[in-house]
Formats: sequence, structure tokens, C-alpha cells
Amino acid sequence: MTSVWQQIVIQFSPLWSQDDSFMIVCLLVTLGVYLLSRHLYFWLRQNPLFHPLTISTLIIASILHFAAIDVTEFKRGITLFELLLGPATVALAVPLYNQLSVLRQLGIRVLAPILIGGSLAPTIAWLSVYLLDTPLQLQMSILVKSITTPLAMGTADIIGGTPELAAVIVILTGIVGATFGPWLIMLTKTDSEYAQGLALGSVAHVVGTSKALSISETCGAFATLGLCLNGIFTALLLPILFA
Amino acid sequence: MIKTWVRCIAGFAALCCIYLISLFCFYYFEIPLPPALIGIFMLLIFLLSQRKVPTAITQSARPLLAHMALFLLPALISVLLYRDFFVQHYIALIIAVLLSTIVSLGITLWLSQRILLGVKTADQVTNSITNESKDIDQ
Repeated sequence: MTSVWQQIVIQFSPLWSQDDSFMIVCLLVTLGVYLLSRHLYFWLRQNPLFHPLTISTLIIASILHFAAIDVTEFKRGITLFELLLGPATVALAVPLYNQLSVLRQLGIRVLAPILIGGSLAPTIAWLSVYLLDTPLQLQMSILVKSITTPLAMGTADIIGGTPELAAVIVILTGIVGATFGPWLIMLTKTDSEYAQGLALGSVAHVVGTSKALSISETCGAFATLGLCLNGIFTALLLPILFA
Repeated sequence: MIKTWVRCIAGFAALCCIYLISLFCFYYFEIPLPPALIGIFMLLIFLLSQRKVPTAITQSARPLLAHMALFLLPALISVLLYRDFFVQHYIALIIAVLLSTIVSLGITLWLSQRILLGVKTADQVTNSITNESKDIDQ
């Protein structure tokens, strides 16, 4: 019991075991950079190539480089944001609950595209890294590429991947999916909004969902369903298979 | 205004509590699932039992979900720590991320269009049926 509490407390300990002013500066800089890149993203009409996450990472990387600040030190400084990811992920239950009635109405056929997308994407990706003989760490991290980042990080950790590596792969997957999505929709002549949303949400997670929302409200709702269910299925299945 | 803030904070506190409980369950019962997923299930069960989303939860969930990117930044900044790894395996990463995503998204779109074709028509059928019944009512 006490060891359990210790394990939890260790995660929170950077909050009080470091220089307060350094921590506040790190948090404010990160917040500022995030708001700036978010603004830029909306100004550029939500072009997925300028996703706030990539732009913010690039800006922070250059700040750290020029100010000669250690990355590990800076990461400790923004532990607060890292800890808030937990409650934010739990909040995903709210959109999922709101979509449950759709699932009940349309039934099993809605699940099929999610299962196809959710199993196809990691299988193809894993095969390609497996055939190229990459380290096991990368192979395990790539399996979670299509699910929402917070769940991907937790799952990667359990199955022997690297959470940070998984996060990067997941974000890049989302950006690729959202960039090529509209073009692929035209190519495959997919005119059903349900199909568009489910495919975008289950293969390209949150980034795909925001693209789907720009297509239509229905498309966005189905993308949310795809995102939540694929995240849950993958996070349930992978630890059973590999842990 | 104050009421909204109080609700927002209460909802946020509830979400944090759920996450802490799920963290505790993760370590104590050694459940092989991401702690956040355990939390999602807990909240979902609570929402299902309530049959609606309490306003406090909605109001705190909305900003948290909208600004998820901010909470993901710490993980992405770690890329800088793995620079050599990325340079070493760039071909595998390009194939795995770019090619496999495009191929699987394309196949998923094509297949879902075929699978959901029936659903769309079924919907239209029910619509026309309800329209007809409306006509009858009139």
C-alpha cells in the first residue's frame, strides 16, 4: 500500500523538488509558445502541416538550443502540463458517451471500419519496421501509431516501447493522415460522411478528427467515435498480446 | 459567472480524483492497461449510471480536450533526446509513418464506403417511413 503511494508521489515530486522560479518561467514560455502556434494554425486555416504541436516543438527546440538549456531540465520544469494529461484523457469519456446513442442505432456495421482501420494501420507499419530489422523498442512503439497520444504513451510503456517515441510517431501519423485524407477521400470516391469520419478518426486520431470536423459536423462526430473506440480497443488488446 | 467557475473547478477536481484512483488501481491491482484508460472506463460507467453528463464535467472536459496539445508538448519535446535514434532509423520511420498511414487510410476509406453503403440507405428508408407516417398523421 505505501509503496503504491510512493510510486504515485514520485510522479508528482518534480512539482516541489525544484527551483520555483525556473519552473514558472518554463511553464509560461511553453504556454506562450503553445498559444502563439495555435493562433498561427487557425490563421493558416488549420493546415495540418502547421499543427500546433509540430510548430511549438520546433520553437521550443530552438529556444532551448540558443539559451543552452538542458532538455531534461526543461522537461522537469513543465511536469505540471505532463501531469494534466491524465485528467484530460479521462475527459475523453464525455465525447464517447455522447456518441454512444449513434453506436446503439447503427450497431455492428459502425464497428467494422474502426476495426479494419485500427488493425490495418499498425499491422502494415509493424511489418515495414520488422522487415527493415529495427530494434524491438521501435517495433513496439510503432504498434500504437493510430491511437490518441495519451493512450498510445501508456500502452507503449506497458508493451515495451518508448512512450516519447510513440508520441512522436502518433503525432506524425495524425499529420500525414489529415494532410492526405481529403485527397484519399476523392481517390476512393468515399461520399458517405460516416465512412469518412470513421476512417479519419480511427487511422489519424485527434488530428484526423479535427480535419473531419472541418468537413462536416456529422463527419466529426463519427471521427470522435472512431478515435475513442479504436483507442480503447488497441489499448486493451496490445497489452494482452504483448505484455 | 462565478457559478460557472465553481462548476468548472468542481468538474476538474472530479476528473483529477478519477485519474488518481485509476493510477492507484493501476499500481495496486497491477492492471495491464494504461491508467488513463482505466479512468475513461470509470467515468463512462459513472455517466451511464447518471444517464446524462453533469454540467460540471462538461464544462471542465471541454477546455481540457480542446487544449490537449499543450499537455502533449512535454512528451514531444523528448524528441530532442532521441535525435540520434531518429537519424539512424529514418528510412524505417518514413515508410512506417508516411506510406503505411496513406495505404491503410485509403483501404479503410474504400472498405467503409462499401460497408456503410447499406447503413445510409437503411437510414433513408427509415426517414422515408417516418415521413410517410407524418403524412398519414396529417
